[in-house]
Amino acid sequence: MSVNVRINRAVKTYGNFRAVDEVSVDIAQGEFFTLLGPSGCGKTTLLRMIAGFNSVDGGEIYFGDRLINNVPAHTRDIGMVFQNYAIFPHMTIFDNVAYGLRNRKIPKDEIRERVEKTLDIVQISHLKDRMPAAMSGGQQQRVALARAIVIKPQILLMDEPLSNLDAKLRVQMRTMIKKLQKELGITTIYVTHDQEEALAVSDRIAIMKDGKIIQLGTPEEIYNRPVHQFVANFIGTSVFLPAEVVSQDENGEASIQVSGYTFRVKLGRKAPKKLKLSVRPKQFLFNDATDEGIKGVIRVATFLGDYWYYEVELTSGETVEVHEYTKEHEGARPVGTAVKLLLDLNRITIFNEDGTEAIR
Amino acid sequence: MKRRLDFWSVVKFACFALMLVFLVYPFFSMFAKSIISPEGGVTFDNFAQFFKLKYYYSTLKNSLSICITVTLTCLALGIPMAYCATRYNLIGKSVMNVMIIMSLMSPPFIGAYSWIVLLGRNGALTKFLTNLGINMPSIYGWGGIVLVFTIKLFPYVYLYVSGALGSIDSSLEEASESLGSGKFRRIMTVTLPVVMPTILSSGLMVFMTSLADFGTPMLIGEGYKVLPVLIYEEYISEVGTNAGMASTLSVIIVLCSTFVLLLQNAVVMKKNYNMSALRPPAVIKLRPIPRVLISFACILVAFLGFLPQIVVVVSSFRKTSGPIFTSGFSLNSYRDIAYKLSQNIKNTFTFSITAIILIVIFGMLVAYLSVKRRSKTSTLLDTMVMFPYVIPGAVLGIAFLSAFNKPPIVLAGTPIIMIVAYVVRKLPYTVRSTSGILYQIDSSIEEASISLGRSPMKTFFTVTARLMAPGVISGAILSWISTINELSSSIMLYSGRTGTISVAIYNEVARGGFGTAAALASILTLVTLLSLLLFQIISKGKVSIV
Ligand SMILES: Nc1ncnc2c1ncn2[C@@H]1O[C@H](COP(=O)(O)OP(=O)(O)OP(=O)(O)O)[C@@H](O)[C@H]1O
Ligand SMILES: [Mg+2]
Repeated sequence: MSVNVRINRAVKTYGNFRAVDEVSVDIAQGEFFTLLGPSGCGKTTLLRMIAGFNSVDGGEIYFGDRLINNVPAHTRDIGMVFQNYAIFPHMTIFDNVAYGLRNRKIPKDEIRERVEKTLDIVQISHLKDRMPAAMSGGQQQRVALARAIVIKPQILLMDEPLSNLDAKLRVQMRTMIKKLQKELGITTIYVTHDQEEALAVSDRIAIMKDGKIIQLGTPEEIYNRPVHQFVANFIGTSVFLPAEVVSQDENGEASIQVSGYTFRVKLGRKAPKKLKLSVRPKQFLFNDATDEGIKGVIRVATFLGDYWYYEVELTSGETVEVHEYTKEHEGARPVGTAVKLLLDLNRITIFNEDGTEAIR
Repeated sequence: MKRRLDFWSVVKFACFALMLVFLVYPFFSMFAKSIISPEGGVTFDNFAQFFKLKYYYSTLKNSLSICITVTLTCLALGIPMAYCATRYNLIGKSVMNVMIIMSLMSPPFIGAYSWIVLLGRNGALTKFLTNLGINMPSIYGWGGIVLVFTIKLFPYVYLYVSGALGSIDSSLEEASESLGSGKFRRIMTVTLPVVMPTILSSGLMVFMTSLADFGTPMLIGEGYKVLPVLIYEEYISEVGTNAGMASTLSVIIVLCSTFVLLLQNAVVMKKNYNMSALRPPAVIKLRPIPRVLISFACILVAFLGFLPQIVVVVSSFRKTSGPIFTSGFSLNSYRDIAYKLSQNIKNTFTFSITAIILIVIFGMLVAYLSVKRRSKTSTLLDTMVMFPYVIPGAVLGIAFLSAFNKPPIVLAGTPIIMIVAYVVRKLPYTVRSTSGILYQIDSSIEEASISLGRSPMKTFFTVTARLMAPGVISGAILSWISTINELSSSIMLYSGRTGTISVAIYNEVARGGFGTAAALASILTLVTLLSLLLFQIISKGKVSIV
């Protein structure tokens, strides 16, 4: 049976260095939960704490109601998929997958049946008598996956399982993993530093930085409502423009100026004087009608099928990336054209000056 | 929060306890014995005496003189041979390699024995040459020791250096050549510096082995006494005289070895050019005449190393009358040993097999701890285990005797003390080759097994141990070869019932039983040869012999 996982202020220290720093998170039963962050942020460390390969130096980790801080790894009932697959090189594929079952006093017939069924699911039943050395990376990863799920673990843990595969296979495999996870309804904790992969597979994502969780939310929330400049920067492409509050009335309606362009927007609370706007390439709009907008000149224009890709040099000297759907504007805007850019006010994110807090 | 004691903590604790009892305690007692006067106070009289009396200090001088000369001669012989063998298309290269490996792995004192049989007072060659009117210089003494050691130990240099020369990427030398260096200049400025650390290591190996060896100088040295021989004699005659002297000498020799080892670490470790050749250097095709000449010279040298074993086997089938070989062949020598010395043969094999089983178990665990559970304590454990590698067997014998001939642990004269000495002394071979393999096993393999519900202990036996097996078995075979041939610690520790083949050979030679000695040595040679074959098959050339 799959369970929920509760992590309460978990800490892992190496000497004086906190690799995982008071992380708290509740992961629901059956959820596909992803730890996402740049290299060295502590994802693997946290995952290995959950697996039981790293000690928990502070806080608690629960599987359901069971406190597992000091439970030895082999009794935690987890399935784990490793980045380098970790297939036992001296066993056939069948024996690899059967390995976890043979320890559990399961009758031989049932073992055979379960192994074959699982190999079927990951589509490698025709390879079951091969030795691992004679298999491709993708096939090995399927073995690793089969081996982890055949034991019907309470929790499935995966540490960058796809990072050794080529781009096309990666997309194929992640679709399979996601489908499989939903079918089995198994609580899954997935580690990756690939944001696209995270957005594609996850129910919820935790963005980690320096051992802490910066933001926790669905892929949509993370993408559309970053709470920290770091998140906006890490997920997708964003530019950051310094802005200033000219005035704000008691309803929260504020008048904000950015690069000589002033716009009005309703903020939920009293804003500080200085702000930072985070704008994605699709949140810039060309203004062909009036004289209003951030002024700039087109420096690069590239046709990318669905949209035109422009690089616009602002009068402030900064260069921003702008995407315009081909259906919104006929033909190219030639390099050298002077343009005015408006902002998609409902979508852009407004941070405080140092980007540590989202005002809206 | 209390952490549960896991399998590996228990193993680590147990290993430590064993090392304390069987390594630290003996060496501590030996040291204590060397500085405690008969009245019970602390004294450095023994050390003072050592440096005052010529009888004592001359042995240190002799030892150093032998070791330094032998190191130089081995380098002078081994390096050019290694260069020729790796770079030129020599004839009979594989035969040559087999002979060289055989001579390295042969029982340590067979060389001395055979050269006595050939060139000694009643030697076959001596007689032959005397009849021709040629008087050979005496084989006994300094010259003989140097000759035997050189022939026996140059394989270390040869094997180490050919390994290094074979793994220089050829682009390195080509780069030098493209910069306009001539061949000699290239060797001196590129090739040699790159293999220098290896040359130093091999030199150290030769130095240490010749410093520690007891059998050769004992048999062939006669009046020329080196430190290990003196230790043995002091120990034998210790009853009544100065009880601490053997210990004192042992402490001195331990200090010498440790000093040389530290020196090597300081020099070599800092600049180890670790390379694995992408493109190994090309083999140069020599013109026929140089090719034949160089091949002949190399094979001749290799043959000299192998000759003792031929001599031994041939001698074992010759008729003897007392210490003299007479003409004609017979199996009398074998009949004699079957009659008189079967106990020794049985002992060698029972002790060695027991020791090897323990070495395999202990070696796997220690190697695992030091590679996969890296911590300060496991590094310390590893250092302790490797320590006997540089300790002469005679010294280990003295240490064991000073510790285990009195309560609380009395083992002197029992088979146990022999077996334990073998384990302690030969463990490093297995630990080294096992560690080598372990570094190549990714820890996630084990974690995968644990995550699938097998305990760390079960995981070790079902996964890790299986993957380690080739390294363990290869190492164990090397340990085994070196155990059956072990003389220097056995001669210290044996009693009437626990003599081994090596001990018997030594005693037979000492009292002139050359025929029986040869028969015994032939048995060892045969077993060694078979073990080496097994080693080659199992290691598939992946584990180096040295
Ligand atoms: N055994 C260790 N000893 C000391 N520091 C460690 C150890 N293991 C990890 N760290 C440190 O902890 C931090 C987090 O490491 P971790 O492996 O969890 O990163 P990660 O987020 O998985 O990165 P990546 O995406 O590169 O795998 C890093 O700064 C790392 O250097
Ligand atoms: Mg990682």
